[in-house]
Amino acid sequence: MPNNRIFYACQAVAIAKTGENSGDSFRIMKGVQSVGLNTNFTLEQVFELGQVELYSNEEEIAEVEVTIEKVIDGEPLLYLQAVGNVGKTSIVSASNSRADVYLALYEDNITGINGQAPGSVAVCSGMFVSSVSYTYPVDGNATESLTLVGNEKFWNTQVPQVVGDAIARFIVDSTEDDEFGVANAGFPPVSGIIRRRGVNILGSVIPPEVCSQGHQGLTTVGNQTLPNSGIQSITVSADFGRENQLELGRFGPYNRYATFPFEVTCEFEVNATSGDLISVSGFGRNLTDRPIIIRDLAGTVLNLGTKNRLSSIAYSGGDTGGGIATITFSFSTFNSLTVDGGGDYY
Amino acid sequence: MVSENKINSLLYRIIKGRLRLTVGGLCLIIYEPDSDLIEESYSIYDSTYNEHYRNGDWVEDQLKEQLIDQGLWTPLDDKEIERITKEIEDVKVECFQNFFKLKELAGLKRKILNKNDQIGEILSRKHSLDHLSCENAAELARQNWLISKNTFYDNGAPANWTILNFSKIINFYKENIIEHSTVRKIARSNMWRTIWVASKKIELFNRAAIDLTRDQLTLCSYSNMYDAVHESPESPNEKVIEDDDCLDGWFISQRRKHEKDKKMQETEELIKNPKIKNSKEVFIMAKNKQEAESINDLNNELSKALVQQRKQTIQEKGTAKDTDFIDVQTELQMERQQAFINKMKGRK
Repeated sequence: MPNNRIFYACQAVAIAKTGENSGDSFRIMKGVQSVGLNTNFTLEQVFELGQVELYSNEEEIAEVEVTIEKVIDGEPLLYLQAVGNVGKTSIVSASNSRADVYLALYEDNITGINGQAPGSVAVCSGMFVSSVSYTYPVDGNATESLTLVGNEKFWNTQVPQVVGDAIARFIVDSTEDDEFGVANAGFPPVSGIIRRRGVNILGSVIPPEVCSQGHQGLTTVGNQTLPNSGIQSITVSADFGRENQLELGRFGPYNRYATFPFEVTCEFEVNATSGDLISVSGFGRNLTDRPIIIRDLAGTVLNLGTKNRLSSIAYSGGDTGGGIATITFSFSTFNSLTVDGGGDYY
Repeated sequence: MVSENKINSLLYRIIKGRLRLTVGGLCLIIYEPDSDLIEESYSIYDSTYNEHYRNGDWVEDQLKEQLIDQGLWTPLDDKEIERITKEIEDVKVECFQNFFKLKELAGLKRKILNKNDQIGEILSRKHSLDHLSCENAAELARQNWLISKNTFYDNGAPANWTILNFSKIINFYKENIIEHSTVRKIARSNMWRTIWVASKKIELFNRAAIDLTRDQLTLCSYSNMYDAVHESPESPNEKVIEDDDCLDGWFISQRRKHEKDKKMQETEELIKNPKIKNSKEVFIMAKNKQEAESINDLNNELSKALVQQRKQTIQEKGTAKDTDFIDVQTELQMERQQAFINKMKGRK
C-alpha cells in the first residue's frame, strides 16, 4: 500500500469511447463505488565513459492504470461501456476497443453539482481493458471490477475540444434530493442491486462438479421455488495481459495488444457436504468440457462458452473451531467470454 | 494564580462537602446535598413548575419563539457556537503544538479567551429570557430549597431563615462555586494525588458513590482523566499536563487521530478490491458535502497539501499532466537519484 495515498471525493465517473462525447458513447456510470488510479513513470539512466555524473536520464513510457468497481444493478456495465456492443459477442474483438475515463471532482465549498462545472477532471485517454471480473458473494453486493491501462492521463479545468464538451456533460441538471446530484444517486437502480437472492441459479448453466455436494433439487417456500445450490460465491474473471507495441518514430505505443491466448476463469465456492467427489485416474483423461453461463436478475449474462475445464479444486475450512468446510472449484477457458446486460451501448 | 494554600483549602472543602460562611461572630455551614435530599428536591421542582405553568408562564420552547421574535437569538447562533467551538479546538491543538514557544502560546491563549467571550455573548442572549420560563423558576426553587435545607449553624442547629437574609446566603454560595479550571488544579495538586493514590485501597470521602457531591464527582472525574493521561503511551510532557489549554489540545489531537484511524480502518474495510486499495490515488464516490468532507479527511496532512498543490497547478495551467505536479516532479527526482546511487553501488 502506498505510504501517501491520496483520497479524492469523486462525484462522477464517466466512460466514453475514445475521442467521442455524445450519445451512448459517453456515459456517466451509475453504481460506481470506488476508483483506484496508479501512474508509474519509468526512467532509464545513461552514463558515459569519462564522467561519474549522469549523462542522461531517459524517460520511458508512463503507465496509467485505472480500476473501477461498481455494484451490479441493471445499469450499464463498465466493461461493455468501455468496449461497446462488441463485448456482447466477442471478447477477441472487444480487446481492440479503447476508452476514455473521466473522473470528475468538484470543489469542497459547493453544496450541489447542479449547474456547476467540475473543479477538475482527471482524464485517462485511450485506455485498453486490462482485466474484468464479476463477483457474486453470499454476503454483500454483486460487483463488477474493471481495470484499464493506458499511457495518457491529464487533469483539466478548461474547455478545449472533445474533452471540454465531455466535461460539460458532467453538469447534471439534478432535481433529486441528493446534494451532489450524482448520476446514480437519488435514482433507484433499474433492477435493484444484485445480492445473493438476485443470482439466477436456475437460469444459469453450472458445471455438474459444482452441484456434486448434494445441494441439488428445489425447495418451495410459500409461492417461491428456490434452488438448493449451496454456492457461496461465484467469481468470473478475465485478464487480457496487455503488451505495448512500439514502433520507430513514435514515443508511445501505437497499440497495446492483448496477450492471446488469455485465460478466463470461473470459481465457484460451495459448502462441502462430502469430499470434492472428483476422481482422478492416471490412465486416461479425467476432465470434460463444461459450458458455463451465469445469469442474474439484473439481466447480466456472463457466457464463458462451452470449453471450460476444471483446473483446480481446493478444500478448506472445517476446522476444530466449527468452521464450515468449503470447496472451491476453479474452471478455466481461453479467449471466451461474452457479457450482456445493462442495456444498449455504442 | 491560585495559591497552594487556597488549593488545599478548596480541596478540604470538597472532601468535607461543605462551604463555611463566617460573618462577624456568626458561622454558617452550607452542606452539599445527599441523594435523599436531591430526590426530594425534584418534588419541589415539579410543584413550582406546575404553579408557574398554571400562571401562564412560558415554557422553554415558547421562549425560543420569543427570542427569535425579539431578535435576540436565532438557530443560526447555535451553528455559530458550533463553529467557534471548533475554532477553539483548533487553537487548543495549536497551543499543544506550540507549547514551548511562549510568545505564540500567550497569543493563542488570548485568542481562546476572545472566542470564549464570543460564545459567552451569544449564550447570554440565548438565556436572556430564561428568568421568565417555568423550567428556570422550578430549578431556582429546587436549588434554593436544597440550600435552605442544608444550611446549619456551626453547633449543628438548622439555620433560622426568619432572621437570616436568604438571598445573601444564596449569592455567597453561588460566588463560591468552584470553577472547573480550579478543580483541575486541585486534581493535579500533590496533596490530592497522594490521597487519590491511597484511595485505590481505601474508601474515598467516606461516602457511597451515590452520595458524592458535585465537586467530589468532578474531582474524581478529572483525577481519572489525569491518570489516563499519565498512563497513555503517548503521554505528553508534564508541563503540558499542567496547562489546561495545552492538555485540552493534546486530547483533541488524540481524539482526531483516533477518529481518523478509525475512519481509515473503515475505508480499508469498505474498499475490498485490492487493486483499488493499493492504488496511489483512490477516488471514492461522495453523495453529499458531508461525505466528501469525510473522504477528504482520510488524507493525511501531506496528502491534503498535495491535493491543494495539485489543484493550484491545474487552476494555473488549465490542463495539467502528472509531470506538472510538484510532488510527481519531486518523486521523479528522487527516483533518478536512487537509480544513480544504485548504479554507482553496482560498479563497486
